[in-house]
Amino acid sequence: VKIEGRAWCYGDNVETGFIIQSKYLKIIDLKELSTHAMGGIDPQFASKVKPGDIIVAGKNFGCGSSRETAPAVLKEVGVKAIVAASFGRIFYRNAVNLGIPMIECRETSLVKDGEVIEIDSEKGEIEIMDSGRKLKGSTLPDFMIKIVEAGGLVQFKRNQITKE
Amino acid sequence: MGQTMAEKFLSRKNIAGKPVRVGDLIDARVDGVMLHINAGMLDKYARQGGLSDGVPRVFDKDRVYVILDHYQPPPDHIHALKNKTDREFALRLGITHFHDSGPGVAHQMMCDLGYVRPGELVPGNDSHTVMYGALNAASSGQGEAELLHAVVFGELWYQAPPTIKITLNGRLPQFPFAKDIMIHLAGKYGDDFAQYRSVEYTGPVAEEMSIASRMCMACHVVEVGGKFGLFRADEKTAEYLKGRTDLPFEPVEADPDAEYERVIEVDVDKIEPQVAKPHRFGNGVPVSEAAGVRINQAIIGACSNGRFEDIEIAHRMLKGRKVAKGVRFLVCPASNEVFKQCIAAGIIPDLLDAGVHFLDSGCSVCDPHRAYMTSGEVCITATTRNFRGRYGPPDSTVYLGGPATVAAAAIAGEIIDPREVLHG
Repeated sequence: VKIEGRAWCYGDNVETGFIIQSKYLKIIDLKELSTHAMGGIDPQFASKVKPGDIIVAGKNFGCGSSRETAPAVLKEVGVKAIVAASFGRIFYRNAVNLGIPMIECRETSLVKDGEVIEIDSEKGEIEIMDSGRKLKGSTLPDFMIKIVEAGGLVQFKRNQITKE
Repeated sequence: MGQTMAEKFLSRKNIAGKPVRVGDLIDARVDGVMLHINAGMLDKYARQGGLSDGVPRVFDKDRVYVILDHYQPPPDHIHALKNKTDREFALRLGITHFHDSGPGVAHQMMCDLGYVRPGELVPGNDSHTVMYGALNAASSGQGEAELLHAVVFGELWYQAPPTIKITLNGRLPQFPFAKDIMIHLAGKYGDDFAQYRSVEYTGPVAEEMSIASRMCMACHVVEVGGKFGLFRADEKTAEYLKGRTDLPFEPVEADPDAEYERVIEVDVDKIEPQVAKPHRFGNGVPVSEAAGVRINQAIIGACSNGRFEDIEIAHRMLKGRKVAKGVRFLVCPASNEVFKQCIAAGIIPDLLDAGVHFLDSGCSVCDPHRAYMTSGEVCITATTRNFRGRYGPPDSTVYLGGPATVAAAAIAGEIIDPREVLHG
């Protein structure tokens, strides 16, 4: 699957508490909650992000608290994929379980904020469209691809049960 | 070739019944599931999945634990509502071990109440679930979507992680404490050095350590990215479990020829008291490098350091002294069992006389909703995290330190080497 979108670039160690700050967790409605997405590090993000955009980050993206609302608000605002040098493991699982394609790539610092990139999730390749430069990334294991393609774990299990 | 603890755990729990090697993806049978806040979220996901009445059943009513810890008592109306949702979830499903206003930190209560045993696989919906590794249980934090699957079917997928063996050599004198060792490791090797990995603690200091200190070491594995933080089950573990559980258990040991991705040897005697400077756990430095920083708030508490030994060291240091003027020193036991230990030891009156604000058990000083600061204020805390903004506006700052370092700063009004107070 190919995913093309505009990159929002961040550095290392973006914790889940930056992606959605604790003070907003009392908001139950996901749509309203998502108006604070990335608020701990980039207050502009939530108002400027467009559906189809991609997050590109350094190492340890999504470290810290296990809050599933972190990937949930990113999905809600339309983030189509997340590329990072590495991920916090709980965030990684949560994002896959919510149906967000996740790609590990050591060279994310070569992508500039606002650039359009294209991800080939099967090959694990990231192309910077302007320069044509290609970066090598990881691919998801097969069963995670199935979860992402179904739109998340709940949807995946539902489809499985319906088929049975 | 032998197996690491992580490989042994996952081999034993592998539903396919085959031995597991690093990298293998398996469906594993879980022994328990810990849910604290957001238990009600599982109902929401179940409804999204087409089950209009929410989660239909749990795999074992005695093995799904629901402990409403973060917001007890509820600080506002919205949290009262959230607690109600979680409460209804537990009552509807007939959860045997449901604790409403216990109160305490769920992880401490899971251990206090004997819900975790050596050799068990116990996921939970909080990042510090990894703490049960202190009791030789493989536990880690997960999200609610996959825990919905786990509570219904008693299964969860795992990928067998590579293992880092950390050998703690030395004698474990008065210093350092477990917290100092963890901050030192994160400072030296980076706050993601155990990303996706299992950690095994071994060596003479690991054996010498109290269960409480092992809990601190295991708890903070998530601060360095880890999946499990495991200790061997030994006589201390058996002693701790006595009277807490009647159920049989089978500890997991690594094979002598297990294959480790990395072995880190630590000379514990050479580690000075440490602090993690703002705003990352990995900003660990010897306390001397932060000495002189004026503080407004000091905290001992949480699943990292809210146990009796942590409060007792503060008592030893504060007895006959006073908390510095202008400093708020909050001490919050991790559970009512710890609270009762403090009462039985008679240390609370001295702490109160010294000017400590002693709080009821729970998560309130770490989440936090009772320890906010304002712009420019500085906190030193033995709780879990010091990310920017955790305790207030972005320009408030948080240092992490061991309980002795925190107590010393509370007395001095600034960060100092705790040995100056303890031996001074």
